Amino acid sequence: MNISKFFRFSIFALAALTFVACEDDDDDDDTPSAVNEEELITDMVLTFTNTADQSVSTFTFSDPDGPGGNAPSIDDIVLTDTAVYNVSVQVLDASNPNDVEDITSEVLEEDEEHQFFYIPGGGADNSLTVTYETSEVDDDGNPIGVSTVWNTLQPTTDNETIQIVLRHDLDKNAPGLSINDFAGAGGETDIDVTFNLTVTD
Amino acid sequence: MKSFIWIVVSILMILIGFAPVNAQDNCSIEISGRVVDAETGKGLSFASVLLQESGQGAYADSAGFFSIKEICRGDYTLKVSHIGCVPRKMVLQLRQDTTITFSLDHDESILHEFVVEAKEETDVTLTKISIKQAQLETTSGLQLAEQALAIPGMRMQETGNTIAKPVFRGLQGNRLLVLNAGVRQEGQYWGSEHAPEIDPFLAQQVSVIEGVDALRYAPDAIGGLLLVEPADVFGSDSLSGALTGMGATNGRGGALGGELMGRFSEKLPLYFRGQISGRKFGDVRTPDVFLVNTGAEELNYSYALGWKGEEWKAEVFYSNFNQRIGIYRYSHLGNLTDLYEVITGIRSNPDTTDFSYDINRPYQEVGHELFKGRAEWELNEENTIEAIYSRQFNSREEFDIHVGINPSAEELARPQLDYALTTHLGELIWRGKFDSFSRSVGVTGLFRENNFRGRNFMPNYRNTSFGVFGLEQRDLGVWKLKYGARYERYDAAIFNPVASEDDPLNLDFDGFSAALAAKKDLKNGDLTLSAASFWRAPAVNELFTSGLHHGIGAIEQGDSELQKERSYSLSATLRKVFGRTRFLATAYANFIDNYIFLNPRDIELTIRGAFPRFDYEQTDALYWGADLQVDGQLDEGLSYLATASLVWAQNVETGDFFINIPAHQFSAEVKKTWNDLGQIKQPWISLSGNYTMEQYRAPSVFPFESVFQSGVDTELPRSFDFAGAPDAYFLLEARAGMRVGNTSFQIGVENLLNNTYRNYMNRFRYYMDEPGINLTLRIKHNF
Repeated sequence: MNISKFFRFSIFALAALTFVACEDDDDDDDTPSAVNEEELITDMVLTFTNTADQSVSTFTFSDPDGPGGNAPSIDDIVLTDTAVYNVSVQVLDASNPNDVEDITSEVLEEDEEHQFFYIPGGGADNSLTVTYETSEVDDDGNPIGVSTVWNTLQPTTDNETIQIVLRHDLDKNAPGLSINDFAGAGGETDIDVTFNLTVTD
Repeated sequence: MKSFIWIVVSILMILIGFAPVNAQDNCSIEISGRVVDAETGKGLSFASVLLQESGQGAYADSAGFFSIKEICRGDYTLKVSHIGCVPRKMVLQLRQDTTITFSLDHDESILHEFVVEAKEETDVTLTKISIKQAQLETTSGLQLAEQALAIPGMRMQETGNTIAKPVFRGLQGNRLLVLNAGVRQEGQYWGSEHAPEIDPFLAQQVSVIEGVDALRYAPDAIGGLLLVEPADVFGSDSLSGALTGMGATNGRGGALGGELMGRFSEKLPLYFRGQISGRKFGDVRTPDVFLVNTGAEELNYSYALGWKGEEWKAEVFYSNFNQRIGIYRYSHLGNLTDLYEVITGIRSNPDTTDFSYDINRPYQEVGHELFKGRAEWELNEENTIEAIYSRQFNSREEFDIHVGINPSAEELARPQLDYALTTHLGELIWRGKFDSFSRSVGVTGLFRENNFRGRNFMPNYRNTSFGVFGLEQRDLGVWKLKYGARYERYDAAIFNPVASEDDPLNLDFDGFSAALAAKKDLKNGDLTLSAASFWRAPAVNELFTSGLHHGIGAIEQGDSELQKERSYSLSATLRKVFGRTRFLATAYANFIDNYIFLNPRDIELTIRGAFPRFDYEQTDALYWGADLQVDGQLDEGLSYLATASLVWAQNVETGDFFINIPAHQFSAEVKKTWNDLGQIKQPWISLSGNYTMEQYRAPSVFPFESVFQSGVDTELPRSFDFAGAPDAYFLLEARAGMRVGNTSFQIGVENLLNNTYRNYMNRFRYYMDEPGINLTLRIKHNF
């Protein structure tokens, strides 16, 4: 069977095109260049303002090298008994100490998709209550949880903790959803940090 | 028009020669001759020749020659049969010694035909086991690893339903190399979610080789080599081609492929072959729900041009592979708590009954380009020189669910992980034939460069590798021997983030690989023994990986102090024909010194919560097992095939089990073929059952409860998995087919009983069931 000139031409044209394509790709690969563009969350900073005297204290979870590598450093939260604290949470990318990026504002921009949860552990629910700052809501009127109010009730015994979780893509109207329970709301974990808690006399 | 290589139709030719002999007694006639393949003209080993009236018969030897003695004068019906061929009968009036040659057609009804090749060329492979075009057609449109499953001992590791990686005798990844058109495929071998970037439609033949035959290609074929061989560009002098279509109900998709080959003009010895294929599937359905985001799409093409001179031939080959594959949406998890809730069913995944073709995050975009130039000079009868140069680009982009909080449009568009791997490979080989042996010697050089952008999982590197090998083979009469050795030096320069471009971290490894294979012809069979030792340098991921693997919710940590890994393997393969039954059995053991593996080490706290940490460590490992296959004919047109694939693996130092070792598997198939019904040629139906055991040698289950109670201080077992091995399962499959003219049709039903099951060799077994019932239609038209 004979092959038409057109057919022969198209085969060669295809061949030529693919050779050109190879050359183009090659140019991209001449120099290895690593750019780490991933957004990292390394630090969580809790700022406590005692409503009685306006004194301020901060407690930090810090893991500047990200997952793996060195273990994170976690402050113990120390509060005084029978006090009311206004608490705000801040999340940072401090992987580059010269360019610390505040990610809290990004959470607030996407507030309908994010919510912080505060879960007392080891019996800490006897030592304090945490409630959402009622004035801080998203466009649907649901809480966000960047700002909270902590009431200390009694001194802690051993091993009490407070777990702070940031979830995204959750259903904020799910039944049973509360400041310490997100089980039925779906979504995924962005942040999950547990602090040791001490309430002193 | 000359028939194509893959068409298993050819013209039957019977050549009968009568040799005049002296007067004979009534019962001293001898009939002798040869049984050959009608297509290739090669002798058909162990064909059976039977005189039906007297019951006298014989088997041909390995070259197809046979003889039957002491036959009485008379009229006989002679039946010649060979597994894989259409049996022939002929009526003979035997009056004197007779010599006869039979040509047998291939039988399209044959079940999984495996071919153990012994070409009469300088480069004989003793350990090659292949599946050919005719059988690949029955699984066309599937992934390469799925198509290779017909090779005894071949299994696969899956990640969801869209990514399948071959596993041979329990080994995979860096230890099981894949060759595309004779070139070592260079991709990101290290991840089990990185399938070979090869168009399955390209394959004319898929084979596995081990031991000495792999030395020519690589020093590090610890688990063997999977060869994907396209059709020979010089295969057809006239224009010929094929169109293939496949459609499946599960995933509501299909595949199309087209191929064209021939010679440009009768004056010029210039040949060409071009091929294109595409695949598109949507969400796959389990018996209960659609799995969200499990579609895939693919577009590939390749071409080859060849020039055949008097003493030399040259060819160029180019292939281009593009794939976009969805990853099951609910396989990307937040942390250990999320994983626990999914595994224990506290949280059920919101799978839906809505089908979709959409591929959203998480997904992968994979591209691969291969360019190869090859020239072969036949200096004289005895000496041949072959030179090969190839260049490959492999790109892999992974788009995660997690794109950061409040991502910008630019962040949403780019992948979280982006690898570009460029490889150049050159090979120069001399082959010589001598009186009593043949020899080949070659040098190879390889240059690799890997770049990444995005999530910091593996460093950039450049790497060179130089090898020298020598192989010899001798025919000692009863035994055929092949042996050889290879020296390889491997250098790597590691850049950021481990070191820098100006001041790289340099690593070098070198060592010898050596192997021996011996094949003995037995009565109606043969025995192949193989011994080999290969080594490999620790891969860059094993040395320097550091970070969180979102797909499995684990932190992986490399170890820059890893030493090279070395294997010592033994295997024995026996093939034998007993009457109408053919038997293939392989037993193997592979001891791997300094075996590199991911060992669960610790629980690590991150700002996203707790994650298990797996460290790359070294131990001594032993893999052993057996592959068994029996096939034959029960009755006229009724054939069967039964297989068993058994594999064990153990950490020799600790006695622990490794994760992701395939469980034992058994299968049986029966097939009925009828005679031609007018235009309908060789209609057939088949039914097959496949039983996969529970992997009872699986690591213990991760102690979630105690971890949640005592946190990072929990004592972990030495080895663990996040969930126990899934239960055993049984799958039934039915198929039917026929041929009309140059077109063949096949329908099939997979998972006929619509069973719900999970597969231990699927990394997403924690999250999802396997696909339910699937109806497929395949059509192929040759022209």
